[in-house]
Amino acid sequence: MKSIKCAMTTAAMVLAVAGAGCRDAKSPAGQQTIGFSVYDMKYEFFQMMEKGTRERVQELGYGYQLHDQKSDELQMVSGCKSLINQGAAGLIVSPIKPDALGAVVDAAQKAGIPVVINDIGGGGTPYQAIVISDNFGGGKLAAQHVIEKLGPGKGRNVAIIKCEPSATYAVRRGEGFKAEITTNGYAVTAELSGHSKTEEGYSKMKNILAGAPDLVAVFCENDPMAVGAAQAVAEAGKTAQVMVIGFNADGVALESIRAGTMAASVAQFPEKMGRISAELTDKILKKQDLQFDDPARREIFAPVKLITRETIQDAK
Amino acid sequence: MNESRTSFWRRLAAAAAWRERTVFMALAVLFLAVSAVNPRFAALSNVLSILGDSAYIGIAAIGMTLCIIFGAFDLSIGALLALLSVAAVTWAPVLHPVTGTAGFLAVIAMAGAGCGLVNGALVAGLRIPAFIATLGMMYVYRGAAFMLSGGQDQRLADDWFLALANGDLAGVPVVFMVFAVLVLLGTLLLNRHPLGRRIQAVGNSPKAARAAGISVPRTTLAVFAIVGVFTAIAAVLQASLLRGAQPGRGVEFELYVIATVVLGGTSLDGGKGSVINTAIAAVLLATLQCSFSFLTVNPYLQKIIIGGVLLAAFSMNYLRERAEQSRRRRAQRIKQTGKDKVTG
Repeated sequence: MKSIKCAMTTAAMVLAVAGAGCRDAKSPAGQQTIGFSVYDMKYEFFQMMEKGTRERVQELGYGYQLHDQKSDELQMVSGCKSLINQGAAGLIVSPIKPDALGAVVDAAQKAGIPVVINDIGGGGTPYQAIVISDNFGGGKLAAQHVIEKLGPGKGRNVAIIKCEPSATYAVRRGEGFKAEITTNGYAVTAELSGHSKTEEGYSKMKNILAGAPDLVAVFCENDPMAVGAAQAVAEAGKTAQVMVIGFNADGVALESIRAGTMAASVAQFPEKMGRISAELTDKILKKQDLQFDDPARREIFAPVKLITRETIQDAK
Repeated sequence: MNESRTSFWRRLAAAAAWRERTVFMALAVLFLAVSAVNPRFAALSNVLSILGDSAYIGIAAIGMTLCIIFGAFDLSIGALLALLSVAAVTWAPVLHPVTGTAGFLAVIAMAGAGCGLVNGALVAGLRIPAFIATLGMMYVYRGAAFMLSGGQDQRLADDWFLALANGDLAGVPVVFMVFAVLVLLGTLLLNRHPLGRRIQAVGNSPKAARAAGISVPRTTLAVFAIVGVFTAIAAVLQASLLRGAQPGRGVEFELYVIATVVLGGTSLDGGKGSVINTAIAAVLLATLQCSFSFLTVNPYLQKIIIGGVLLAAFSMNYLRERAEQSRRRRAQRIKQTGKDKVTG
């Protein structure tokens, strides 16, 4: 019985000592701290985002405090509140559930500290700014690649496989693609939802090919659907005829690009997004004006890049 | 005989009191250690925030404490939490204008009790082991949550609904007050109410309880219904804090709740345990989570630490029980030899 107390005491001591070490290294006395509550550190995307955020926050001369939501909305709320309680000067959140951000932004406002959202969404809360990839621009890049390879459209058919309508930002990818491709003379013959899933990308692509056998390109709003679509195209023996382009440069998509079944994918740069979010928070704390890409929604776009077989080394 | 019984009870009481102190001491040590490193940790606002955080797991853990003392598990509560929060959020616009807030809460609590009764009926009526029955129902409730919500997140940000979990009275979070009241009710139910005594008796020995005229099936139904009610309260409060419900909520919730109960020293063999200890354990876990943030503990290391703390608690429970058993055996042997001498 004594030993349970001993075990707990030891654990607490170890924690305290470990923590003491961390704090001394990261936030000397009198320094302002910026807290970052991350979606889940088990995903590479967010590991890169965390790296960019941490490095830029420290370069700018702030202390840095990380909280991992571990994909749990309850932890998102309690963790953000504890960052606020620790006296963070600014809060950056990449929320697991934007809809549940209300309690966090309320608490931050009460404490008088700014909130910058990184990716996912702001849930309609009064945050100061949100960083998202240039999704519309990414869709345009995909369209430009098709035009570059095949020349002006002359009425040739392309298709778009979309994410679910609730994925507000992903939907902009298809809109960007459509705007650019139609102004260059292509016709969008089909625009279907694949609900972000590989299997639906596959089945929807089969339907599209049945209706438009002369299709020259398909743009998918995410990579899982693009991989499914590429499989359907390959099964129809039309890999040489139909360009398949996805979004996000996932590992599986890069493999398909290397294998030649997919033409391209649009890469996002989470590390860069992290750096931007840190710079925004710094500007807000210094009361400088922000340059929004979309002032009404307080959005700031992070750059994206088209990844093809030739530029595949840029994806990482 | 009489004397040995008194000393047995005294020993048990001493053990219970000691256990209570153990969880509490661990909490105190952790709190003081972290506060020493970062004095902001001990700030009243942070303490109140931790207490508020502990309520969501803690409330569900009260029901689970009764269930484990009874000698069963309920693995379905995570999925049930999702179903009930989806139900609360989707029904609220229709129900609330008619029933008012109190009536609305009563309906959700009754829905929780109803689902709990289904679990109980499977265990008591069809004799399916609780572990298997609630595992099966976990999938049923999860599927029902997705069906009821159409797979979509449901939002609800009406003022009356947000007030349930987001408010405070004189700085003390309302959720913590609800938690404290429920801990008191749970303790009274377990130690003062006949049902509580029946739960403990069945947990100690179903055979003996049956011999004493206790209806095991009826007690089973009651226990699972109670678990359902506590889950319903946790579900509504969480939905209020998070301004809506989503059918995927509460995955692994049941495991976290069971871990809290065991950390509080409730024996997995059934028969004994304490609601107050469970509550202290819930506060301890919330404190640990918060200290991770204050001490900037590596996110991957956090999981290892939580696992380590639980393993320490589990193994200590085991060692304690073994020590108690061997002590009892020794006492019996001494009594036996004494008797032999008398008869010889």
